[in-house]
Amino acid sequence: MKQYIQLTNEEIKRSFKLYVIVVLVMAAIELVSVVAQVMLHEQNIKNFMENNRATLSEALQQIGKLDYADTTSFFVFMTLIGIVFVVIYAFQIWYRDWLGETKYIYRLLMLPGRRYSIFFSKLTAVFLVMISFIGLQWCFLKAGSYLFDWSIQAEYQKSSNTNIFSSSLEEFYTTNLTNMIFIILISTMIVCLIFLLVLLERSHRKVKGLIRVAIETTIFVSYAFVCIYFLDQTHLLLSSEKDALFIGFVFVYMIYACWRSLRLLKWKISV
Amino acid sequence: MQFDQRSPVYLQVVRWFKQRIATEELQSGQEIPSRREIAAQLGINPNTAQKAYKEMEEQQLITTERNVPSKITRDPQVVQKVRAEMLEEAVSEFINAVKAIQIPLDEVVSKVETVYQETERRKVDA
Amino acid sequence: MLEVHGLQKKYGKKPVLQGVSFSVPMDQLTCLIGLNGEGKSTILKAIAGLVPVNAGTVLVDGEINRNKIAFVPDIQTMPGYMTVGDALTYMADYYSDWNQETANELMRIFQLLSTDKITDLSKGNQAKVSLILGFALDRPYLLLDEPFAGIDLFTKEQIAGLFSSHFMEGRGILMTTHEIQEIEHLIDRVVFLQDGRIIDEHETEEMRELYGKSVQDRMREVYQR
Repeated sequence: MKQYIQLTNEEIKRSFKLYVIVVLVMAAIELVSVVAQVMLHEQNIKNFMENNRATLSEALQQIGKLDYADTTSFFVFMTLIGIVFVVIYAFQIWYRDWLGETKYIYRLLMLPGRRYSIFFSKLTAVFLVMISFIGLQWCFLKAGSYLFDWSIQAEYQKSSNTNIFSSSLEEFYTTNLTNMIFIILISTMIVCLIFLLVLLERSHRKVKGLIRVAIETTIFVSYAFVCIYFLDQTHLLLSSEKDALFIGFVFVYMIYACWRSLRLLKWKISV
Repeated sequence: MQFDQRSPVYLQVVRWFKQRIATEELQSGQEIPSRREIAAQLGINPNTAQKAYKEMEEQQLITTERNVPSKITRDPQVVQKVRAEMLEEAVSEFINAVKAIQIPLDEVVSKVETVYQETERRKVDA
Repeated sequence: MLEVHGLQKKYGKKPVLQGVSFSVPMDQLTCLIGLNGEGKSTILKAIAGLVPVNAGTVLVDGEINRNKIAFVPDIQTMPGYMTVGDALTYMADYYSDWNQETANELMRIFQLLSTDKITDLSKGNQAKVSLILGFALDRPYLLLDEPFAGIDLFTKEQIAGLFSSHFMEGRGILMTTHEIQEIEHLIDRVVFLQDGRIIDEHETEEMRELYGKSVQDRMREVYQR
């Protein structure tokens, strides 16, 4: 347990600088884009008025007013980038210990504690980064809406709408707790899958490793399809029961992936 | 110290001590370094030092008591024996060398005298 | 006594270790000898638990206990951003059998600074850091993989000095090296590896006393067909 905490601490410290940079850059891009889009809209209105000798209300009629949701397209983009970063981190958190000038994996595997502490410390680190990205993105969206209100002129703004999200964002940044939990669970499951694939590749030589990875990915995809198809097709269950079953399916896979990963780490992993 | 890798290192260490006993660089009753110290000094494995000291004890070259540094023997007979041994060894080696080039004994003896005296003179001059 | 019994390892169909058995006695420096690529490094890693084997066991004083073995590999294992001081702190944090006094003493002997970044050090100094990480663990058995590889003469002498010091006491050391000629006189036992098996084991002083052979002589006999 102690070693788990020490290792988690270390993983976080190792990636902290890069994490902060990524977060700041994403925030900057998103917030600047909000203001930029407001100004662009203003410019469009002005141009229309000049070119067509129209009044403000005519221009607004033609081009349309702006609401916050219209300016959040960059946020969607950044959310995807965030997902990509987490995926990359999930791979990099392992591979950096094998590749490079120093082979830290030797040190990790020689530590006196149990090997599962290595696995769970890395899982925790990725999980924390993922959760914090989601949380921070919420904050940025909120901050963006204040920026929007501050920078736009009243006439240009669409009548206030409590929904600050564009439809695509809404899927992800739902205020529905169940959906949020689903998203986090599924993401964690994907991370477990990534960890399993990495450990498989590292436990077998060259081509054999890649073959195992391909097999395992196929297993996952098949499992996912079967579960989804089943949930889709069955008419016997209530919606809430379906949700529970879905969570169950996700947990089953995570336990499988973790169990296999731990076994690989204990018996088959090689420097 | 350089070691011949084809003969036991511990015996080479014993020999090192014997040479110094013969020349009285190490005097009767003088304390010698501990096994640890001699190992570091000569650059040998502490086990080798251990073996060497044991051998020297068996040959009665040193005396060891518990918790006290080992000492060179006070027995004058042992010191004499060592000198004789060293001399015998040097002479045997020398004789083998000159026999190999087939020099008669009287020439060898007179040559030995001359060279010996020369080296003594050079020592005084220096 | 560290005992290795019947280690077997295959890479795919190719057998690398075919039943390697030998012992590493306490208070002695044992050298594992073999040609390049014969699996010496693999044996050490297998003993340390870094490489899985198809068969075989490693016993320390009769039981399976990896925590009585310390391994010094031939590559750097601490993350690149760490200083020497960081590495020592790391070991102190994770290991209950870390001996800070031994580490400090070795730092003095090797003349290393805690503030130096490990990856900025010369190869010789990096090797010294790795040695400290192994020697400062109070464990009875120590494995050294090519401690003299690619380092300058002066550093070699410093490291060889360890084998003449009190750091040898209470330890059984297993070492692999190609630089046999300079340190032959320090080795207590040699174990010869060939074709994945141990074909010969000797106490070096016995070899010298009984046969008048040096380790290198025996190596020529064994490896030159």
